[in-house]
Amino acid sequence: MATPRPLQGFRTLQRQCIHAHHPHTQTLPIRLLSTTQPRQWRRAVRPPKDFISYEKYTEMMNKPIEEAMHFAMHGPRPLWQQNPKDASQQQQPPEEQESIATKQDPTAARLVPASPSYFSVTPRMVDDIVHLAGLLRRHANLPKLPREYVPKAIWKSAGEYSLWLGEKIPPSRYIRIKSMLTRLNMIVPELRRQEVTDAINAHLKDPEMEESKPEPPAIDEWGRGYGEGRRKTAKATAYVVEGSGEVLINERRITDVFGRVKDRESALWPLMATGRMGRYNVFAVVKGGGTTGWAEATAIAVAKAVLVHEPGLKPAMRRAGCIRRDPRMVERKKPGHDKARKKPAWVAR
Amino acid sequence: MATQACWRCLARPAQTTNGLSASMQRLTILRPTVHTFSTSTSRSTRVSKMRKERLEEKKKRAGKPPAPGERKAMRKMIVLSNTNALAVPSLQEMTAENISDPSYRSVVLSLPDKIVSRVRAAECFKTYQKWRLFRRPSIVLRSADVRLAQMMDDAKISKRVVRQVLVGGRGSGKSLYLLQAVASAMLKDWIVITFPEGQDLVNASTDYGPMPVIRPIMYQQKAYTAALLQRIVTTNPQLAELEMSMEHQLPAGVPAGLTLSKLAILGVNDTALAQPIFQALMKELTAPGRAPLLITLDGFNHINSLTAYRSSSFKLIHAHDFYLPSWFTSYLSGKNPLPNGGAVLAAMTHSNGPNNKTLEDRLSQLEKQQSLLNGNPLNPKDNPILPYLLATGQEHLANQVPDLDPYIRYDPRVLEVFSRTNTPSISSPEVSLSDSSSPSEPSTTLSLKNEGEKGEEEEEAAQSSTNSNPPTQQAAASWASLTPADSTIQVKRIQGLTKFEAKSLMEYWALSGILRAEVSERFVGEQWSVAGGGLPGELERTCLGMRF
Repeated sequence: MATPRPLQGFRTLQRQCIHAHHPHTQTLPIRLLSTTQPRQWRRAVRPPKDFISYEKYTEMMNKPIEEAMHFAMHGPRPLWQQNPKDASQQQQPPEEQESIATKQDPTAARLVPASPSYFSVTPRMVDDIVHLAGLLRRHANLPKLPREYVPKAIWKSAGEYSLWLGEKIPPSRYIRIKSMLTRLNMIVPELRRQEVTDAINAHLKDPEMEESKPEPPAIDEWGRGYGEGRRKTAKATAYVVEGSGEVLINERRITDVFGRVKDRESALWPLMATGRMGRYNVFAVVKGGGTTGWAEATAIAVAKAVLVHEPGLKPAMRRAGCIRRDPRMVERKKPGHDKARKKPAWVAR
Repeated sequence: MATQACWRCLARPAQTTNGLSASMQRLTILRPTVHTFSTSTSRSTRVSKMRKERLEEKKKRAGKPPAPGERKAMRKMIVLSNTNALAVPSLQEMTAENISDPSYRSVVLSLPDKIVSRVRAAECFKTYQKWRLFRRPSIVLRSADVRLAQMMDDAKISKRVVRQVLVGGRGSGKSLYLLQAVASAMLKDWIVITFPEGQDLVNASTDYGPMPVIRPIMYQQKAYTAALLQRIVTTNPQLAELEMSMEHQLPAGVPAGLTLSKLAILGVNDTALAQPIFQALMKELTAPGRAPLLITLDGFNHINSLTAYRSSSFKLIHAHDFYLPSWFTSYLSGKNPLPNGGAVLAAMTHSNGPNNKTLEDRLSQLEKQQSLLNGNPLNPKDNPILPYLLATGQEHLANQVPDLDPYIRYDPRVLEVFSRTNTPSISSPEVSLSDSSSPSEPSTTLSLKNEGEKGEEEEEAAQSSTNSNPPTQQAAASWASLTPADSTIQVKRIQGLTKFEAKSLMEYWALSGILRAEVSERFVGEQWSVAGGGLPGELERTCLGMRF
């Protein structure tokens, strides 16, 4: 290959760009594609949904901000939603319109993605990150509040954020966004620019979403709290009532079910760790797996059932390790191995 | 008492040189030895000089191998004292009075020195118990123990017999209950006969043979009987003061007017005499005017099924065809009377016991029956399925006891043991549902009182006047309901310790310097739950043992 020839016909425009999901505007370089672009671009018959022509882009820019936002998010409004003046324009046959546009400006035939991150898996999230990173870049020098004076902000959960963007976003990725938001939130509010405030407000938890949370489990008519737990392949269900510390597992005494003292202790660990051993009676049913799985599944089930009685114990239970389900399962066997890791002994040919 | 011959394979003793004729021995000695000449060193010396040295070194390092029987002795060794443990100054000794005193419930009492060696001889201490950790053997007095001591007092006065089969989970303290019973009996100057392990009677570890004359055939175990006689003599030193009171038909000429201990020792020294002497001794001990008798057996499930012994037709022999097991069951069932009063206690075992469906079903049936009889069928405490019955509208079944399973072939010889147990009809008017509002009314038909926590108020009421006094005739009248008049076998369920008892026991452990934890309510509660509701065996394991 020879040295690449200089790109001709490229124009870089500094324009006001509408972000797909954010009501604030930002200055971004917009590249308009020229005829020197590869052939397949020119021959694109049907433009992808999120692509807009330069013509459309300029038209969009002239619309009021709400309309532009809607356009960016949902594309053109259906006819019945448009005002009659626009509707009459829309009714023109598209081919003709296109041809007119082409006549006026040959570059209008070129299509550009509305978002520079169009080709990423999660363009909206990438846009958001770029946006927030820009805000941080521009405003990071502003004075910060001391930690204790920072206004309290409850961000959207990862699930809510995914729902909001309409993209599947792993919680680990959202941690990065939250850390940026937290940093933005530390800027002294009096000095904060409107765009920062808007970005923060957009990411706050929706109060309506909270109401739709499932109701916390309650004690039933017999005074029982119910919980389920799993570990390895074992599944335990536990009923906990106020009592004197008696334990029945599969209708048997705990000493009959768990021969090892260690297993008994790990099954009753939630009660031990919180000092509630003599206050509740436990009735548990465990299935599947072996004794270790039984014991630790029972622990989680008992912890959840106790939380029904005393929800305030949750942090203590979490610290005691009784909330999180241990995700470890048996490692799969691999081809060429005797077991998961074991390899056959080396044999001389 | 191992015999020289291998009785199991019925082989004759191995021939030794001692058994050879004199001429043969001379031949062996006089056989000429031939030396062949060679200049080379013998192969064995050449090859193995280095190896021999190495082997010798190895032997030196390994030390002497244990002598025959040494390992078993180590395994069976019972250590009852630990000089490193702290002496507990507040520890009280067990006396004949305080064991039946309800105010001593939940108190840890030590066994008096004078009976410790006797209890050891009775083999009531087990290797799996943690006696070796403490300065002196001590046990916590449970309400069931107090109850038993009271019943024994009553049995002595009223010449009745306490018959109990102890059931309960593994480590719940059944053997400890027996130990307590033996200690009580010794303090009360009873005569004690113990079978420390039912398994030993049936697992083909002693010799056996048919008894002469008796038909159908009955088997005796001479070596075991001799050991039993030895145990009886060591356990009961008072036999040395009792003289024979009647004539017995004994094979060899036994002089008249021997003391009972000397009589027994004749049987110990000559196993051939052991069986008839045991029978004679029992006749003497049940003669009028003798002390009450306590007979205990641990591992009752073992002696109620087929043994590992074979008959001459190579069929497995039933345990009840052996003299000693059938002797025990005859006293337990009430077939043989104890005219001087006494107690017969049999403890089930759950650590090594065989499955015995007959025994299990019959015992659970009896237990249910007795619980309903002595309690209130409409009280969920006495009748655990009551909430279910009420919820399903079947309260008319509340006082029904389940029948034995008609589709199981039960062992009739085992059922026979319980046939004398008086089981008054459950639907008798005394326990009809209409009467249920006043269940604690004592009635003659319901002579058995339920024990444990529910009976405690009555117990205290009965005992309040006679706390420290030795039992009197007057007191006996008030206790008439304690011991059943008939030969009813009580099914006694041994539960775990109460939290209060557990706390008392743990405080003793802590004072001995063995338990290094603060004995707080929380600690006791935790250990109590982890030990399956205060099972003493499990408590020892969680608090005193290695944790694994």
